[in-house]
Amino acid sequence: MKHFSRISVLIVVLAGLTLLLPGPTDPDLPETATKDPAHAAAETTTIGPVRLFDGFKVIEDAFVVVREGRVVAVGPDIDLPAATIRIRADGQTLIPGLIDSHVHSFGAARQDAARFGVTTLLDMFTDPILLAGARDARDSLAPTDAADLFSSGMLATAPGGHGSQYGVRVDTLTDPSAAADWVSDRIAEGSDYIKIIIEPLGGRLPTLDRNLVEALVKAAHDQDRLAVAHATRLEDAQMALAAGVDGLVHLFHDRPVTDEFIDQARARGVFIVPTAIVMGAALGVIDGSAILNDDSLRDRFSQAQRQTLAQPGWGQLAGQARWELLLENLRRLHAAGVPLLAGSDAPNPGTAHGISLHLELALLVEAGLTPAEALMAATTGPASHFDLGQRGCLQPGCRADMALVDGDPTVDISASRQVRRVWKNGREIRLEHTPGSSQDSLRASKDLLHPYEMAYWQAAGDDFLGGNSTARLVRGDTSLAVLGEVRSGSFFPYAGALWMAAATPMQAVSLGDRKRLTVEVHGQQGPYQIMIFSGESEAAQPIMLELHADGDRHRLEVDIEELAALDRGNFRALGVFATGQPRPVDFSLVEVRLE
Amino acid sequence: MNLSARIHHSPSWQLVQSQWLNLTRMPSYSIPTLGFPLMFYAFFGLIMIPGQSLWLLCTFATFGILGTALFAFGVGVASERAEGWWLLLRCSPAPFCAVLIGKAFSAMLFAAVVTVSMAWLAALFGDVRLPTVGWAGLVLVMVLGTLPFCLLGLAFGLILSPQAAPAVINIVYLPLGFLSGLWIPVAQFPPALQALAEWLPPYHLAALALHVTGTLPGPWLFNVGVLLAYTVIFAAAAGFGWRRLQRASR
Repeated sequence: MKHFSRISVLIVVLAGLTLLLPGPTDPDLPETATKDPAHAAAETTTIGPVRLFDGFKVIEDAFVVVREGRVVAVGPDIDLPAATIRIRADGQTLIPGLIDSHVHSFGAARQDAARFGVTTLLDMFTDPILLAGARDARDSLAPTDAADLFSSGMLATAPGGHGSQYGVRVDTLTDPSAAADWVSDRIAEGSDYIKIIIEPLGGRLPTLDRNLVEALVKAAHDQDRLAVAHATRLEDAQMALAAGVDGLVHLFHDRPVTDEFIDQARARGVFIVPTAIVMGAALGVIDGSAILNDDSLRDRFSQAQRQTLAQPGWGQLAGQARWELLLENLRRLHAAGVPLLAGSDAPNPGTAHGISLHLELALLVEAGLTPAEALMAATTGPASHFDLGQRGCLQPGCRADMALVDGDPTVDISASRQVRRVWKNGREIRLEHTPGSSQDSLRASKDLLHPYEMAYWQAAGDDFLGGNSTARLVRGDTSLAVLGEVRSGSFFPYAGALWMAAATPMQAVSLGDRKRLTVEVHGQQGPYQIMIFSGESEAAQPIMLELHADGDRHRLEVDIEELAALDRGNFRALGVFATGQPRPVDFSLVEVRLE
Repeated sequence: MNLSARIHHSPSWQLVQSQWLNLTRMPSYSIPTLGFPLMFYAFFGLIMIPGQSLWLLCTFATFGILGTALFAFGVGVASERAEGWWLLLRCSPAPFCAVLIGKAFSAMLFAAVVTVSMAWLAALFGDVRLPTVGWAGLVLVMVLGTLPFCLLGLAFGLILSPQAAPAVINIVYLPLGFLSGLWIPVAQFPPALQALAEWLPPYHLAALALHVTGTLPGPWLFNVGVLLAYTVIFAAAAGFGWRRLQRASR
C-alpha cells in the first residue's frame, strides 16, 4: 500500500514538474521568436546544397534549415522540411554573419554593417542613450535590416583625456575609490563591458594611471563585466595587462613586442583586437577609398561609408616603418598563440562599417592566420570571448545571421567581401543602398520624447546658416529642454531642437501610416514654430506651422494627411523652434507625438 | 474491497512493486543510472557545446533512457538468473509476466525521472523554452521509447551469461549511443557513419524527440515505424532467449 502511494506520488510529482517547465511566453525570456506575432506563421528557409563554414569547420554540400530566426538543422544529409523556401548556392560559401569587435556605432552604422554581412557590432564607445534600444533589438528575433549592437557605452578616461573630445558626454575619473560607482553607472546605462582608455598621445593628453586602471578592472570584474583597454604603446599595453584587463582593443605599434609581453598575455589569457586596418589608414599605408573602385560592391555603400573611407588618416605618424612593426607584432603574437579578434574601428578615417572588417580579415591572413582562423576571429572567437551566446555560428540553435559569398573564403580570404546575400534573424535583407528611397523605416515609437528617441534630437539654430542664434539641449526622462538665444543676424533667426526621422541625419524615410502630429511646448513668450522637412532634396523648403499659445502652453495638433506640401515617402526631420524677435530661449518640449 | 485495494493485494501488483523496491532500495544502482546521463548532458550539452542545449537535451535524454533500459533489463535479468531467483519464480504460481511488467514499469518511471530532471537542467542552465505540449511530448516520447530498449535489454539478459552481460552491454551501449548521433549530431559524421546511424534504433527515438520539441521539423511516422519494427525484432530475440532458457533448464 505504502509503495503504491509512493509510486503514485512520484508520478504526480513528475507530471507536475513537466507542467511547470518554462514555456516560451514567460516574461523573463530574452530570445524567443514565438512572442512576436509576425512570426506566428513560421516559414522555413533551406539554403543548400552549399559549402558551409559553420564557425568551426567547413562542410561541403550542406543544407542549412532556418526557422523563426534560428538555424534548426545543418548537414549534408538531413531531412528537409516539406514546405520550405529552397535557395541553391552553387560555387558559393555560406558563412555566419560576421562580428566586428571594434566599432563606434553612430548614425546608420548598424544598417551599413549588415549590408556587408556584418551582423553583430561590438561598439567600443558611443552615446549611452542608444543602448536601451539596441538591447531590445538584439534580444528580438524579429526581421530587421540592422546589425545587433553590444557596447561599452561611455568610456573611462581622465578629464580632458582621449575620448572626451567627440561631443558626447563622458563622466571622467580621477579617484580610484570612485571606480565601483562609475562601473555601476555604466551598467545601469546598459554597458555590456567596460572600456578603459590609456592614451597619453605622446604626452599631450592626460590619461588614467595604473591605480585607476586597476580599480576599474576590479570593479568591472566584481560586477561581472569584461574590462578592455585602448592602448597604442607597448608600455601602456603592459600596464593594462598587469592591471588584469581581459582584452586589448588595439595593437601597439611603437615598439616590437617583447617576450615578456607575450608570456604575460598568454598567462592571463588576454585577447587582442589589433584593428590593423584603421592603423594602416592612419599611418597612410592603406588607402581606404581604394575599395570604392570594386565594381561588384558599387551599389553597396552609403554616403557616410564613402565619406569615411575617403577621409585621410590622422597623419603625422611615421608611416611605413611603424606599419611593418605593427604587422610583425601581429605575426609574433599570432605565432605565440595569443587570441586575435577582428575589429575595424569603423567609422574612423579610412574605414567604414562592414567593408573594413573584411579588409581587416585579409590583414590578419597576411599576418599568418589561416583564412579559416581569420573567419573565426570574426565569428566564434568574439562570440566566446565576449560571451555573446548563439552568434557567429551556423549550427542548430544558432541565430540565423548568415552571409552567402562568392568563392571560398576558407581558402582565399578576399572572397569574404564578395557578399551576395545576407540574412539577419533568418530574413534576407536588401544589399543595395539607395539613398532617398525610404530604405530606412521610421522607428516604431510614436512618442518622440520616449527615452529611446532622445538620441535623435539635436540642437539646431540658424548659426550653421551663418546666423548668430544658439541652442543647446538638456535631455530629461520624458521632456527635452532647449536653452539658448535667438539673435538677429540672419534673414530668419531661429533656435530650437530638431528630431531626425532616420538613424542617418536627414536621411529620408516613409511616414507609413502616421496621420497626426501633436506638439506641446512649455515656455514664455512665443512665437514657436514647427518645421517639417520632407521631399526628394534635403534642401527642400520645410513646412512651417505655428503653435497656438495659451499662457505658457503652446500647442498644435495637426492632421498631417492634409498637408499638401508634405512628401510622405521622403520624410526627413521635424523641428520645434523659437522664432521671431531676438530673445533668450528657455523652453521645454513636453509632448511630441507622431501617430 | 475497493478497486485500488484489490490491485494492491493482487500478486501481480506485488511483483510489479517489488521490482520498483528492487531499484529504490539499491541507490548504488539507481543513482549512477540516473546521474550518469545528467552529468553527460551537463558537460556536453550545457558547458562544452553552448548554444545547442535543446538539440542535445533530446539526444542525451535518449542516451539516458537507453542506459536505464539496457542496464535494468540486461544486467538485472542476467544476475537475477544467476541468483536462482528466476528459477524460483518460474516454479511459483505467480504470473511471471508481472515480473517483466514490473521491470518495464520501473524503467519507464526511471526514464521519466531522467527526462524531467534533464529538462529542468536545460531550462535552468541552457535557456531552453518549450510550450508545455513540447515538454510533455518529450517526456512521453522518452517513456514510451523505453519499451523497445527494455526488450533489447531483456534479450541480452536472457541470452548472455551473468558474467558476460555487463561487459557486453557496456560495449553495445556506448557505441550505440555515439553512432546514433546522441553525443554529436549525425550531420557532423562522415557520410559512411551517417548512413549507419539511420539503421540504429536510438537515432529514430532521438529524431522523434527532436520532432516533438520542434527542433527538427520533418516527417515522423517513418521513425515510429522503424522503432516498431525494432520492437518486434527485439521481442523475437527475447522470445528466442526465453525458449533457449526453458530448454536449458529442462
